[in-house]
Amino acid sequence: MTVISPQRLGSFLGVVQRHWTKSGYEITSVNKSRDMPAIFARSPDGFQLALNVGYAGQASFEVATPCVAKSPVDAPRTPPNGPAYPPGEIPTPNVHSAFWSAGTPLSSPSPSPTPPPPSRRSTGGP
Amino acid sequence: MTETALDWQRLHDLRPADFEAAGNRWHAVSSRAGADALRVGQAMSAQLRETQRGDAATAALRRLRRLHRNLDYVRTECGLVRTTLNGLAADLAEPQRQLRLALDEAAELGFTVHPDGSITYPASTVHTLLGPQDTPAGQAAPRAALPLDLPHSSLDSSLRPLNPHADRAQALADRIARAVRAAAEVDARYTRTLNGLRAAKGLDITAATLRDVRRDTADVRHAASAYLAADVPFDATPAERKAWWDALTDEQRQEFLRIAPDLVGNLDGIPAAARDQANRAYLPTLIEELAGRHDDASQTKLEALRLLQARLNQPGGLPMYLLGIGDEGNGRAIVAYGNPDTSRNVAAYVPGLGTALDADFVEDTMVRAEDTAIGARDVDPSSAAIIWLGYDAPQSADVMSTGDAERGAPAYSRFISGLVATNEKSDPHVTAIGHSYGSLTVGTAARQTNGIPGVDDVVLLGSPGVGVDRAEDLGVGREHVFVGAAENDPVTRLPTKEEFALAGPAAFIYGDVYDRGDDDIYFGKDPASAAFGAHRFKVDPGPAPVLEMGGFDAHSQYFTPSLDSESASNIARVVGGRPGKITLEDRR
Repeated sequence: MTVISPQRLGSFLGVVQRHWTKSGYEITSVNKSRDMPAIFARSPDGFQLALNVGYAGQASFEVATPCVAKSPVDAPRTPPNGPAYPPGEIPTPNVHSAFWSAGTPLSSPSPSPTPPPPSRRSTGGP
Repeated sequence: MTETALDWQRLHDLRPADFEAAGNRWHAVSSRAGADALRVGQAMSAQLRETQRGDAATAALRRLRRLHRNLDYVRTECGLVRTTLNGLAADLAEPQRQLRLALDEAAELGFTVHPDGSITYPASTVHTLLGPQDTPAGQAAPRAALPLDLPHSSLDSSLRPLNPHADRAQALADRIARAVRAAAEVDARYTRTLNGLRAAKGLDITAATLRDVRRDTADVRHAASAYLAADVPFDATPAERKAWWDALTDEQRQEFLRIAPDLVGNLDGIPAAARDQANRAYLPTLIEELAGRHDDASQTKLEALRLLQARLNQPGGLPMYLLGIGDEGNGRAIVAYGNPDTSRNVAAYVPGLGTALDADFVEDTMVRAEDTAIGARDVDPSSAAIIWLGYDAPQSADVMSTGDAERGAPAYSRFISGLVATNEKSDPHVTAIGHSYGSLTVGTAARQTNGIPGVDDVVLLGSPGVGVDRAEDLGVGREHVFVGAAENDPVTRLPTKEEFALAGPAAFIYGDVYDRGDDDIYFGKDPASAAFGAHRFKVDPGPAPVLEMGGFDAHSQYFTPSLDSESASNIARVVGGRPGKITLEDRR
């Protein structure tokens, strides 16, 4: 659970958003809240993606498949490359990264999220 | 209790306190066994598992497990004996009182009560038309039948003794006989129950023995239920019930949780952990009961309860609390994800149209509350979310009227009051969520009580109208009302009843003809409209009902991150106490 400093949170979202756009995903919405931003996107084949920043700067990714017929699925056999926490019990960010946790903004032009499609309005909240 | 017949002398001399004292000794044994079971179960096994490997350790573990089961069995059965004895003492008190009153009266009148219950009365002088006349002493024997059952001819005045004492003596003899009969009935009932509590010889606790434990518990409950129920403050407020519960001794609480779990499991004001314990204890009984009925409705509930039971016992995931369960109406189930008593943020979601206690409820509706809890904990870890199926929701749109909401609303308000009473934080943040018809139930509750006491924020999803025309009428301030309405959700587009009556389904298309601007829907103003004045947060439009063959899909994805992550995230932020961090959408 990497600590992302408030100074570099914008850069982090920018990196993700550029990668998604470059991969051909449509950015469907952006939550521009300062401490709890989020990006929502959709792939051409109907996958939904979300990057959500929550409590204590915890960032989480979500991917949802398009509808599929219900079928039994085995539990994944690949062991996680870190601790496997049950849902809702993931600890707050506690791993320091020299890059993402640094208390200074990046010197390169800070990539900021582009505005959402003009058809819908999106603001930081009421 | 006895092998000789019960007579009035024995009933008179009986000391109910003796039964209670005996019960306390059984209780002491039960407690000891319980404490030992705990020690065996936890300390010893844990140590063995961690430090030992090999056959000897495995064998030792197996024997410890058996010891643990035996101790647990002793704990339960001794506890049952104790409750039975307490019930016996309580139920014998009344006949004994009646008997003593009758004996006192007889003594005052100078009558003699004989061991067989007959009464001798003295001679007396009566004044008749023929002047004073001496009447002889006599004896009245208790009658087999109650006086009311006697044919009138036997009361023929010419046959009755002249001595006025005769009537009184007869009445007293009858009363004494009635008291003894009542006591004998109590005695027989409890004798059956106590005899049922005998264990088979031997040390093995088999599956059959465990079934016995459940049957024994039911038997004791049957015998002692009146005695336990008499104490439950059903008519009190949730806060008063909380005070009552807190004032009970630990052993009294255990008695309710084990013997009469259905009395306290659904009781608002009882702490969540206790309700959970009671309902989990009651669940197998309810399942067994439903399994014995063969109508479709019972089978549907049975399937749901079995699925629910499996989920409760599944390891991993958020801790679940079963706050209510029942088979009345379309079925009842109240399930919390996360402990609502220890969480700062608590949301209670009222489901709507088509919801009933069935497999769908467990596999789909309950999961919405779980998703909300998981999402809210990402916003503030001290969060819990509850699915509240505490009322009968309409089963289809064409039978939808305000009646179900009117009936469900007071129950929902009481449930919220219970949450507030038992929450351990000084000022918990409570969110009322209504989906579909459930939003009308929430709106109705708010209208009835001028804002549901304890509720801070209101979330309305896929709403056909909430019964009030302005957000501020929900009693939390319009800034605290949040609406999710997908563009393609047909329920949020239901035409008004008048439009429906005039144009039928065509009103969907021509709604604007009747209501310029068309912000009136089935149950009043569209909560997503500018006129209503709530925050409308962003949700996915969902598939179009006709063009994309989406049907009602857009109505059913607000909670679900895998279907609409933005909506789920917005709900989570409101529930988690950060409503300023949601994305907004233009109102209709």
